[in-house]
Amino acid sequence: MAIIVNLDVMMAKRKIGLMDLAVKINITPANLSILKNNKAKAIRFSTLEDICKALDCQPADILEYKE
Amino acid sequence: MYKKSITHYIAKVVIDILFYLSILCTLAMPSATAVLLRVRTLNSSASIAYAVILTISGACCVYILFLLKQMYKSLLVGNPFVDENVRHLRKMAVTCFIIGILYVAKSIFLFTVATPIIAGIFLVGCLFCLTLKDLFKQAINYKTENDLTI
Repeated sequence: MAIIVNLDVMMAKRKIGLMDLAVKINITPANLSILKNNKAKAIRFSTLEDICKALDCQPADILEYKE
Repeated sequence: MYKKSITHYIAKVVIDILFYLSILCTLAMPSATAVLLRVRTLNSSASIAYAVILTISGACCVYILFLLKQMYKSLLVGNPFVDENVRHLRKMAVTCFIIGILYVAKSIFLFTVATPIIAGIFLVGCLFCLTLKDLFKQAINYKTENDLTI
């Protein structure tokens, strides 16, 4: 897929684990893992907003386009 | 998410009853045909053909009911949109087609008023199953897309 999700990089920078982030943004660890491992087909803006709020970052810090 | 309905349970019970009844009828068919055909004047080859056609179509109906049972099981679990049900519908379509062709052949050689009607019903049923199979396939695509939307 051309859109890469760099969630693990941001999570490492903010020193937050998968379970903690999942609880913070109110989604299941399974779904967060799908997102982290680039298996997701789409992400809702509301979820992206919650992730950016929780990690104090911009969408561009999490999403990257690679040809 | 999945709302259980009493109609699903009733349908499952009806299909189960029909399934076991159809097994009994199909097993009894060869001997029952001989009894039933005593009211008509047919030569012995026609009687044998009758028995064979009825037994084969009975066995096909048992198989269709078996596949329906499997589909209802998945519905009652709460996840009917699975690849297995797409395969079940394709098999149902093939089986309906076999019954339809059998009765088309029967209407040529052993015509009764009901024969072309039954042939038409099963051939339309075949088309219906194929359409439903494609609908299920598309529904599975949408469901997968939705499941992978975080």
